[in-house]
Amino acid sequence: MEKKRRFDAEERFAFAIIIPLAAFLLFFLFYPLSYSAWLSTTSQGLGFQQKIHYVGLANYVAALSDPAFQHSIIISLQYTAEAVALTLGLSVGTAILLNEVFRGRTLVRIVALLPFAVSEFVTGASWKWVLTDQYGFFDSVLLNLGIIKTPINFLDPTYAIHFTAIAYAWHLAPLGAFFILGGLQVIPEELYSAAKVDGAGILTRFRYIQFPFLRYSVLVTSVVATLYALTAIDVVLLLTGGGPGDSTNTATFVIYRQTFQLLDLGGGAARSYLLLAVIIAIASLWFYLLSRK
Amino acid sequence: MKSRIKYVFAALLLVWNIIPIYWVLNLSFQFRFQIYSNPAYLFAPTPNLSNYLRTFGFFSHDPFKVLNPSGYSPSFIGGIVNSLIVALPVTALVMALSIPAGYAFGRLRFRSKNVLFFVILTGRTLPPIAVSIPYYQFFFDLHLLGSQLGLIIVYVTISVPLITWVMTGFFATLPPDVEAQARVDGCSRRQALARVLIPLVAPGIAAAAILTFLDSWNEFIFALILTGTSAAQTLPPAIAAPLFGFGGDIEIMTAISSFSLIPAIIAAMILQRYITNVRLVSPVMLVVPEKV
Repeated sequence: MEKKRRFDAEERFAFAIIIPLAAFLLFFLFYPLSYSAWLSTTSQGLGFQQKIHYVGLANYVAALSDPAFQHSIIISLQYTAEAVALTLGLSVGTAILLNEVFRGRTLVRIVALLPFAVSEFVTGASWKWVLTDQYGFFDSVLLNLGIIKTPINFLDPTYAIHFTAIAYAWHLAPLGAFFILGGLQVIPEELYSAAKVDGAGILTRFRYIQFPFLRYSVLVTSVVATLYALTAIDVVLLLTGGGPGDSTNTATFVIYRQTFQLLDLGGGAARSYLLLAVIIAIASLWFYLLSRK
Repeated sequence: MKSRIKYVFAALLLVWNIIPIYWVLNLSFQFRFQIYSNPAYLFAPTPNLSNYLRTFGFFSHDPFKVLNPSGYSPSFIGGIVNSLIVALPVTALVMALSIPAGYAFGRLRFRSKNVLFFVILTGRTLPPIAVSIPYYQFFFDLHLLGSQLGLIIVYVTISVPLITWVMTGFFATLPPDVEAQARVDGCSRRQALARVLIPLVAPGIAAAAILTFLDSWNEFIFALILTGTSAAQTLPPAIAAPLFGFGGDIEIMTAISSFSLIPAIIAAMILQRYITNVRLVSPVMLVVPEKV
């Protein structure tokens, strides 16, 4: 009896201090979201004066049969796959390096974190300036070294989507490194001491000690990177503006255009929910992998 | 041999991470005619602050002529002020909401804990663009469109799930006895939290506050949709406005972009100290427990 009563007090205290957060999110996040779910079944335009018509699933049907939207989902998935793969590679490398002791480590740590502290939109803008055929960094290096004679536009239809993925991975990798470094911290110290006795180098230690422990944090990084990349819009907006042509027209960018340029709120909301379905499907897959032992 | 590999890795990482940042800074210290030279200068030939002066509304001059202040400087200065007006209350509010919640999730036992935690975390998985539509309508109805208050509300909802997760991690990793000891010494649960636990996680809270501030300072798409072109416009849409149109002054853009990096650089310098003792992974295990 006594134990049960104590647990109840603990429970009451827990709910009491969570209520402000729950109430805030309920009113300012979940209410607008349900509103948007309703919106996706109407013919609402931006402007708010005209009558709203209930149109059922018409917006969804229209979105699904819209070739631009279909194309954008494929673009999004392709760019996300590239960005996540690159983020993983970069963040594992960064985490392993940051886990080592060496001179100048503080400086390296600061610089290792920096890209994530840089906003997505400055990431987009600065990569645009790095890649452009006017005043671009890469062209400047290649021209100065005499490797090329005329500037290359790295943001042409063939490469633009890949560089968008690269730019996004650049921004996201420090977050992944954070997660993976967390994973490295749980490796028992004895394993390292044993490896030290055996004279193992940084690469050997990775192969035989760290790699087996990293499965979990690599998966967490993959989930988070997937979610971030699929929902990102700033980088695309600033780096390529969806172009050239429709080569970097990601799903988020199509939704942005549908809503705020074509002023089709219902259509934009329907596309958002379809994208959300894709996100949930992918996230569930990751979580399934995560919970499987 | 071993350490040589380390330094090679470190050098590669430094170069890779610095390239875009270096390039913006490099361009920002050049005159317009220098920026457009072919090939572009890898190092500013005559580093100067002309672009920064013009960005903030002053006259300047290059070797040939007097340069007028940028036409965008009022929106840049207004944007900096608005960004601060938004980011500071957001940081305070997020801390006020996430510290108690993080404590509850990290240390207390209660029913539906995992479900609640998961629901709060899903808040961060939604595409911002999907939420921007309802917010636009919502704030239109509440007459909050183009106001700092509307943006503050949105930013709290964006930041609070992730920060609650981080806080949960901080509280969960404190030894269990800490609190028990305080309770034995006669503290109420609330006093134990305020006097013992919060001081113990204070460094973590500082790191979380920096992250929250940065989230608000850096956010672009909601700022564009909800405050763009209004008097409440924050810095990011003000910076981006010329980028959308052609012929935006590249030298001004690089200067204001560089300026916007200042908080990022300060944040990275402070956060590097917490890089190994912030255990971001563990809270996930609350949601997806490792099967034994």
